[in-house]
Amino acid sequence: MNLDTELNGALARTSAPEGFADRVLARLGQTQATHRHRFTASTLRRIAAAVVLTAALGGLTAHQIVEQRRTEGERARRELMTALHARRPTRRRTRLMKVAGLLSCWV
Amino acid sequence: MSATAPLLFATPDTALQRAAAGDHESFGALIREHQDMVFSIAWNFLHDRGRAEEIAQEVFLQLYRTLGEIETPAHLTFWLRRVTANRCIDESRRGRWRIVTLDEAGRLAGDADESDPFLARKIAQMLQRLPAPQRLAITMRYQEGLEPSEIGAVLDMPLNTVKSHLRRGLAALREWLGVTS
Repeated sequence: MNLDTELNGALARTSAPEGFADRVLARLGQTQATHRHRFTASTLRRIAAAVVLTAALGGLTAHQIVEQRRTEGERARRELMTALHARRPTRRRTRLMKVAGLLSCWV
Repeated sequence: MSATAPLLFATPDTALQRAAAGDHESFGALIREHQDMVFSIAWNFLHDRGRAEEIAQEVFLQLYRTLGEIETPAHLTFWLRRVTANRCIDESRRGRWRIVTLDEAGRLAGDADESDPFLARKIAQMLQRLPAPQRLAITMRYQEGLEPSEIGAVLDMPLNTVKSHLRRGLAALREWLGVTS
């Protein structure tokens, strides 16, 4: 007995079952339909998530801008008050000096 | 301009290209061209008609998703053999294949053109007792007629490993069948 010959016979290609290609194509069609449905659903979910995220980020940004402006205004007010407070004695001194100067001329 | 014009307006001219472009009829033609090879590899490995068909179907579904990467018909044949072999190995690791009886083995070998049907049945049964890599190597050698170097490329094995699997597998078959070489 020649084992090579026997193996060639025993392992020869066999025909695929009847209708095999049609079944593969049918499964392909089902897979693609499922994929399209999943794509649509997942796309809608992603769009909704993007809208929510954009709104949240927009709100946060607006809040930060308002807060920043408020802080800057507060700081500016404090600086102005400080400046006015620092200048008041000087002006008073200046005015007093002017008054003092006039008085000295008049006398 | 004349050199680039045909490329700009080129249309797929092979079943492979048309299938890759989404033409189901061309993909069906590809399946019909290669279904016997893919099914037979799974069949000779598993000897379970249902599982063999399921594996073959999954291989072609995977092929459809990968068509864009297939460059030539030879590449396609190589790809199909490799993916089918890998799926058979995965299947054997899951332990879902089964040992067949002599009668079933005889039905499996029914298409084969052999002189001794009983011997073909016995060989088909004996093959199921071999470890998966040896069985695959022998299937590729005797079903597909591949050289050891080609088997190594398909199964992603070094040449010496393939030769070792073939030698050990054939030695086991000779011993079980009582054949003296």
